[in-house]
Amino acid sequence: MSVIVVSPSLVEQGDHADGRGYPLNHARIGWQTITRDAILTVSSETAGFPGAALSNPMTYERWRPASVPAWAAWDAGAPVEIDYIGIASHTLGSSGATFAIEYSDDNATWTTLETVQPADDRAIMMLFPPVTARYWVIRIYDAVPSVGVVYIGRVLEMQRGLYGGHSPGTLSRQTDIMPNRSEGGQFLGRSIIREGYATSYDWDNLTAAWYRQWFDPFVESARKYPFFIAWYPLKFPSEVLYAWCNDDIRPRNQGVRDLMSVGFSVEAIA
Amino acid sequence: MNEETVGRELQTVVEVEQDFCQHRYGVAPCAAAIGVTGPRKCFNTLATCQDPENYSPQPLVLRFCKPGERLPDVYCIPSVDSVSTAPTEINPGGGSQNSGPLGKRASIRVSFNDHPHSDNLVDPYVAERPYKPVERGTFWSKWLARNPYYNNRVLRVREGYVGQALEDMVTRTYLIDKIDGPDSRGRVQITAKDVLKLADNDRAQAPRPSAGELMVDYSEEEAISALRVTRALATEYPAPGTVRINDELMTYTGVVTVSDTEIQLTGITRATDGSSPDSHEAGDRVQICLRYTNVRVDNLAYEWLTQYGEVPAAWIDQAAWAAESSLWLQQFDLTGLITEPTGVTDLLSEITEQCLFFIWWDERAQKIRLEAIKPPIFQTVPKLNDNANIIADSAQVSQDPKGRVSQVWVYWGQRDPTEDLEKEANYRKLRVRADLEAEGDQQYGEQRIRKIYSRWLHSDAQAINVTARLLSRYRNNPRYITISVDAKDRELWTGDVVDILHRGVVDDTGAPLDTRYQILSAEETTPGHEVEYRLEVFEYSINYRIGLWMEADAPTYDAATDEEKFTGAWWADADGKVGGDPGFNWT
Repeated sequence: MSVIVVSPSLVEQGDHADGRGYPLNHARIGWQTITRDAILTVSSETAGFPGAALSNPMTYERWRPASVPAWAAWDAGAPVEIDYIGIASHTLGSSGATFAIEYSDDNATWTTLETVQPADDRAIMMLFPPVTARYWVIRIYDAVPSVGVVYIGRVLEMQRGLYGGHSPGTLSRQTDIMPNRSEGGQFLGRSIIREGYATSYDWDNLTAAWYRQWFDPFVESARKYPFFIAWYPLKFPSEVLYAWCNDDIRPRNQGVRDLMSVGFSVEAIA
Repeated sequence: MNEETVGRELQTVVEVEQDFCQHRYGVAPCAAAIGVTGPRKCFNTLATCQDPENYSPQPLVLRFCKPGERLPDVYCIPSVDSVSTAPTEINPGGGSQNSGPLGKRASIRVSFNDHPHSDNLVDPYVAERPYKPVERGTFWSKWLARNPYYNNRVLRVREGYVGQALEDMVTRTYLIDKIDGPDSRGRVQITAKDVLKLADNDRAQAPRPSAGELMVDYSEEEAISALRVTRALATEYPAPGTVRINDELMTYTGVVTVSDTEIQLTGITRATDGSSPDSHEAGDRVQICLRYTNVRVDNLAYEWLTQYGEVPAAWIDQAAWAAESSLWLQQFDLTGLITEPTGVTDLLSEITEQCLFFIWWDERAQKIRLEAIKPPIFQTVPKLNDNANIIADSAQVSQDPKGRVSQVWVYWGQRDPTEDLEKEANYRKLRVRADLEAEGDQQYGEQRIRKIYSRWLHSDAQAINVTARLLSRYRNNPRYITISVDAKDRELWTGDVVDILHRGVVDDTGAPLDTRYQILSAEETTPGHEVEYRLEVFEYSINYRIGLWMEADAPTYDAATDEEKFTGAWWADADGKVGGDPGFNWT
């Protein structure tokens, strides 16, 4: 699946004062989410696949409803501004399910943000103009899938684009390949141990103020939690990772005015 | 995706069965209540149970896989770091000096990386807890606190490929022996062993030790009509039976309960079974003995494993044991007396060596197998060769001169069952069979003597059979080959027979020689990718043909199929031949 840009007006809008308005050729990082602390209810669940799985970032824990139509709803306790939704470790595509994102202020009247029929089981990021609402719901139709991770929050728009040399994450497979050759020199077989994806990201010329206000909270979160990242939503919307860092992220002063550089490596599932 | 798929993606799933109460906290019959029986709800395990009388465990299967592996429809924690195995190694006839007659037991070690956990699945009341489980403790630290009684619970390793259903994967089963960790780096290691560990000498003894003691003194000459025994129940001494007191054996015909502190064994006959009368003192142990009369070996092994080793009967295919035994071990109906608690492994080792069969845990089929040492039988077996099967640089050919035998000495007819088993003077009979040609200067030029001390054999025919079969199998140096094959050939497993064509094993012209081997051990060195086999040449050095008695409507030799010619037998012509082929030996 891919980044879904719900509104084309997202491209180059705003004055960047609130951290928004950067073009969609800049990376988007989805790390904030209400789903860890909001009150979650689900329409139904099956043994071993509880709704509670949607409240933690583990990819191996999944919610699977007993039947469709099904829903998972979050009550944030107060209106929150949301501009992205991330979904990972799911079978929405392979199961043939369709899902809709809706929001409400009163838990009674719902507005549909978007309805989507995923083509595959890769990570999904939906980007849309900010919406403020207390109640959020995913409704599922057509087939019973399993869903492991849902993030609902405010996306981090990177101040600068990625420059040359970046290896797109979904193209950076991490595998161990083992061939077998016989005593007589014949090809006997080949095995692959899949280890996911691995890549790194580097940015230069980030302003010190932007880094401290918008990027450092992500760094703090990344010490504990995975995040969604789309490296070039405008041109390669299908290249989204649900990734995690295995090391601390440390910026560097460039020594030019107050500009900073930062980079980090990730492992991921796509 | 399967073994034949090029670019198959490996998938390993480790399953641990934990005991998990089927009741709900505080719901009848569970009488637990917060504030009354405990400060919080249990975790449906015995260690946290607040109403043990109603604790009713069922197996809860926890699944683990390696990071990066995908099982979208299974709750599978990706925390497995590595899986390493030491395979079962069978030792037919006790030929190898590197292991006992029962061979080597399989074991497995699974290493995990510990991690925070939501308690989903393992805590049925997780939604009601006043804390966030994922922020409290780690998976294994919590699991071990709630499940201290994990010994002998089932651990399975399933090895397959992405997209395969769990039940289609190759599955091996073990019993958990110990769990180490988590250490300071969050490493946890589970060690599990094969099911035959239940028969280990330190776990299983036959007969079980008796609690009874003599109430009074008895002199050497005293005639005893009723033996007075205390500290025991009558049910511990089923009648009729045999007991051992010090070095004297006595039989009894009945048992009566006299009082809460006394039972009496009646119909006593002193100094039976070759033992000598002795004087005894109050407090001397009265040990029940196990007596077997004409019991076939498979039934004996089955009884020891299931009754004294407490091996679940489901893990033994008794019908298959009986079929193999009725064909090849029919002669081995055994008679003997076990006069003191003896390790089941020791007992099994005795009869497997003396009766020419072997047993092992087939971790894939989840069965304890039994197979006789026998001549090659007519069967179509898989073929492996250098081109299509054997992985480059993996073949090693070796011999074990220590495993060769030129003489077999069987001591039988035990005089006194209370004496040391390996004391030669304690046997009335000795049957010796020697292959003098093999010992001659032109062949091996030395004697290699194998001595067997048997309390079980009770006829000369049995002793002759043992000596003949052992010499036939081990007249020459046992020859081995170790090879690795791709996973496409991993269907072969321990005990299977296979023909191998390898350039290192040739005839006298140098041409590769098609040689039949038996797999002694099989190990998935890289699970799902590569398997290593250790095999022994499957030969039987006899100079006559063996056949089975045929049905009345059997065809003539000329009209018989190849299989019938291999398995059947025909009377020979006056020249000793059948249809021009060598004749059969009547024995």
